[in-house]
Amino acid sequence: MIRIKSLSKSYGDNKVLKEISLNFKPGEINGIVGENGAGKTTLFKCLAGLETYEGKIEYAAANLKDVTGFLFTNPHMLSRVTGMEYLRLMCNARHVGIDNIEEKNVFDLPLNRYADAYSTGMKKKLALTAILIQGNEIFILDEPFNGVDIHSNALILEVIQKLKELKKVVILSSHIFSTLDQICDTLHYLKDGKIEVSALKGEFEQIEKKMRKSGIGSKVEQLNLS
Amino acid sequence: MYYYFQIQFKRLYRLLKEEKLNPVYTIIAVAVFFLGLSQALFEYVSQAPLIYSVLALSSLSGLGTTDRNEFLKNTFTNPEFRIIRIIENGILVLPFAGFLLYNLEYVYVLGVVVASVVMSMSDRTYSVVWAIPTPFYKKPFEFIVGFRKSILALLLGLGLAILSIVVDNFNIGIFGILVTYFICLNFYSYSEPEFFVWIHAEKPASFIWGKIKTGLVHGFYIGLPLTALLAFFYFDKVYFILMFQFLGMIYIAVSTIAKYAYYPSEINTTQMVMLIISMLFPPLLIVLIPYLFSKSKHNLSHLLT
Repeated sequence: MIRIKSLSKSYGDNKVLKEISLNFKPGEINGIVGENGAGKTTLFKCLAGLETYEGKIEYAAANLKDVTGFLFTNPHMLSRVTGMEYLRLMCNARHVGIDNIEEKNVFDLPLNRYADAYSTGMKKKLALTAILIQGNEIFILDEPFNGVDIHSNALILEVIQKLKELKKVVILSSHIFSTLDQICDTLHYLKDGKIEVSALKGEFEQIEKKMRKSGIGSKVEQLNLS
Repeated sequence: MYYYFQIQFKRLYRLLKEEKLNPVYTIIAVAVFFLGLSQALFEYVSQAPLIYSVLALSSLSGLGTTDRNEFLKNTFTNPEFRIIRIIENGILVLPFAGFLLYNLEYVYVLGVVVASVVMSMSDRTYSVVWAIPTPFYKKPFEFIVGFRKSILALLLGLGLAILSIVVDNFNIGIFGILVTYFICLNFYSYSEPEFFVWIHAEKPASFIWGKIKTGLVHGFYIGLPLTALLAFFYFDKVYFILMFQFLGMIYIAVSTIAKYAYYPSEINTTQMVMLIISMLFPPLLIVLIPYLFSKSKHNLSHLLT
């Protein structure tokens, strides 16, 4: 179980996260929703140990960072490194055996090509493959469905369900509400750096309603489209 | 971690192969070039150890970017991440430290080594929440992006000009102008996505002229504080100062044309060598500029019609 207690994060005077307290249980899929700039990625970075923060993040079993796989919205790829080398590097960095990597290439990526020349979706699939092969306990997936084709989308959904069965902690963000509704056990609505609403499965409608209220429809006139 | 460095070596090897350069000869040529420049600096500039140390440390700036740090931190454990950063910084400053040692500048050697370790501890994974104001806001994008990215290096150029006045060494001031314009040339090393060229409702020639004009005007602005300062204190050498500013602006224009001559690829090593030769022998520009302009025009014709 991961316990976040009164987590806050500021960049200068700009307070991005304000006193966030959340629990993430193993075997649960936890969704985080919110508008662009609400603080979702910053929260994920704090969890993954990429940002400093005020407050506490508690995880009993081990050093949190060493068992966390973080899928970035836009994964960074080194230039002139093949997909296969990228996977080897990621495994090597976590001291994980690197046999039969080809068999684990579930997204059928061209592993002999340079990874930085992959499309957005392919980069995401490669990075996801890497964190799966690493055998992490916690999976933080920042918009995993973004830019990915339909077939891979279905496969990612399957993978997430499998991680749930394996009692892993899964925390993900997405703007596709129907997908979140389908797979998440808990959903947290982050607004202006605060958790506005948390809901269990079957109660997500209240979050959707709140999110729809802050639409931009009335501002379209300002564009003076002709 | 060992595999990471193996990969880095492979990347360098592949880069040289792509540029059709022999790795061994290239490394020898770079070493000779580095030693030659270092020797020249120590021979002709009185504050060479200080300038050299600053150059050594500024060469590390590319290793501490947010993307890179996040990637490394996310991939490796914290101790491994630190070790990688220290080793990488060490590899870059080693030649500089070696040359300082050869010149018996022990204090500077110590300073460079300690500063490189301290810099490896800095993560720079913060997000800048405010935009550094620039005087170039109406004409995107090379100078705006470059200015914000290189503000510390540009301040170094200004610092050199001030230092030249303080220690009364004109050469340091000229070196400051050269550093400033060299940084500006680097603004053009990045090729923007094709979309940002395609959106212009212009013909290739007018687009390139516009870019050149912007480059010249902004190049003038960026060099102005240094040249004004130096001209005030070394008025008897004002023609010399203006000549360097003029040359700096000309090379900004050349970089602009060169960039679009090979667009969307970035300027490769061979083309860079061609530019460097033209810097050593400026009359070559009379041939180079029309050649690159015509090549740029042709190169952009499918994006701008």
